[in-house]
Amino acid sequence: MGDITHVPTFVVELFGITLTVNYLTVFNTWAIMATLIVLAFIVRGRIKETPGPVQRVAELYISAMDNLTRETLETTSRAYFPLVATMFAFLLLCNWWGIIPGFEEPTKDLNTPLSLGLMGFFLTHTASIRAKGIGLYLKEYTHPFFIMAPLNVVGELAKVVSISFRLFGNIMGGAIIITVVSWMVYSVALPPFLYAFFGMFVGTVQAFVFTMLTITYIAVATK
Amino acid sequence: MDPVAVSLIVKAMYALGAAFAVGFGAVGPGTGMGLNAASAVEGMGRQPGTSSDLFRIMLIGQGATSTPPTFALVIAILLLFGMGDATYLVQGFAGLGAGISIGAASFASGLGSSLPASMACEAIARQPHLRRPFTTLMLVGQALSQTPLIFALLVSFLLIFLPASPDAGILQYVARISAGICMGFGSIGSSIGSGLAAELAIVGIRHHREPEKASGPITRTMLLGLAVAQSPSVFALVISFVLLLTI
Repeated sequence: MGDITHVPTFVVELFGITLTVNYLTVFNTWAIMATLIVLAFIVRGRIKETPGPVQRVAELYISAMDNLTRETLETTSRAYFPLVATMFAFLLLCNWWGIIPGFEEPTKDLNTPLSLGLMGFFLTHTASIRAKGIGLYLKEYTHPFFIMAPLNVVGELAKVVSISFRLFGNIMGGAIIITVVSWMVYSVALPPFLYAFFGMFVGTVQAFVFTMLTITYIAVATK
Repeated sequence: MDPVAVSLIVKAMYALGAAFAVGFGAVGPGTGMGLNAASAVEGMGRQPGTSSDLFRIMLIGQGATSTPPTFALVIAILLLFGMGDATYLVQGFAGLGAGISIGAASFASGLGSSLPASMACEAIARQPHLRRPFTTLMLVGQALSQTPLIFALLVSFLLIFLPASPDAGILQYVARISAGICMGFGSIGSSIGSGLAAELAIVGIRHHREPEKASGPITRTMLLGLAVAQSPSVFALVISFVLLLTI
C-alpha cells in the first residue's frame, strides 16, 4: 500500500546525458504495440470475399472510425484516418491493459499522454501552417487585438496540458483508487466492479475523448 | 515539540477534515437527490402510466448521485480510524487538506450529477417511448460529470498516503493544505458545468424531430463539451500535484 507513489525507474548515462526511464511503462507500451501488430497480421491473413467473424469486427471498427473522421475533418479526412484509427486502438488497449493481472497501464505514466499530446500539438500547428500559410497563421494570434497575443499563445499551450493531464489523471486516479479500495476491503467483492468502471468504461471514454479532441483541434486549426 | 501534543493536534486536524468532508460534502448530493425525487413525482402526476419506470430511473439516478458522498465518507473514515500513527505535524495539515478537497468536490459533484438524472425523469414522463436513449445519456452524463470528483479523490488519497518527512517546514504545511483547497474548489465549477451540459443534451434529444438519429451526434458533442468543461479542474489537478510533489 505504501507504494502508490513509488515509480520504478532505471537510470542510464548516455553521452553525458542522464536519462531516467520508467521501465514498466516501456515494457507495457512495447507489449501493447506487439499485440496490435499481431492482431493486424491475424486480421490481414483472414481477409476473404465472405467475411468471417474476425474480419467483421475489424470492418466494423474501421468503418466506425472512418465515419467519425469524415464527420469531423470532411475533405482532409483520408490523410488523418490512419492516425485516428491507430491512436484510438492504442489508447483503448493502453487503458484496458491494467485489467490483466500483473500489467500496468502505460497511460498511468504522464510521459505517454504527454508525448501523444505534444504529437497532436505539432501536428495541429503544421496542418494549420500548411492550410493557411505562415502569414495568416501568425496573424491569427493577434485576434481580436494584438495585445491578446500572449494570451493566445498560453491558450495553445494550455491545450496540451489539459488534453494530456485529463487522460493521465483519469487513468492514474482509477489505478490509485483501485489499489486503495482493494487494500481497504482486503480485495473482497469490490475490485472487479471498480476495474469494470475505471478500466473499461472510463478507459473507453477517455480514449475516445483524447482522439476526438486531437482531430477536433486539427479541424479547427485548418478551417 | 512534545510527541503527545503533536499527536493530539494531528488527530484534531483529522477530525476537522473529516467533518468538512462529510458535512459540506453532503449538501450538494442531498439537494440533488431531492431534485431527482421531485421531478420523478411530478412526472408520475403528469403520466401515471410511467410510474414504475420513473421509480426505477429515480432510484438509479439517486444511486449514481450518492457516489460523491460515499467517496467523502471513505475519506472521513480513513481520517478518523484508518491512520494509526500521527507522528508529524505535517500529516495533520495534509488530512485537513484531504477533507477540504473531497468535501468541496462532493458538494459540487452531487449537485452536478443530479441535474441529468432529474431531467431524465422529466423527459421519460413526457416521451416514455424514448426511455432507452434517455437512460443511457443520463448514466453516461452522470458518470462523466464525476470526473473532477475522481481527481479530488486522487488528491485526497495522495495527501493521506504521501510519506511525511520529519523536517517539514511551515512552507510544506501550507502547501499540503493548499493542494486540497486548490483541487476541491477547482472542481466545483467543472462538476456543475458538466452536469448542466449532460442535462441539456437530454433536452436536445427531446426537442429533435428524429430523436433516434440525433442521439449519436448529441452524445458525441456532449462528451467533447464535458471534456473541455473539465479543463479547469485538470489545471487544478496540475497545480495540486505541483504543490504536493515539489514543495
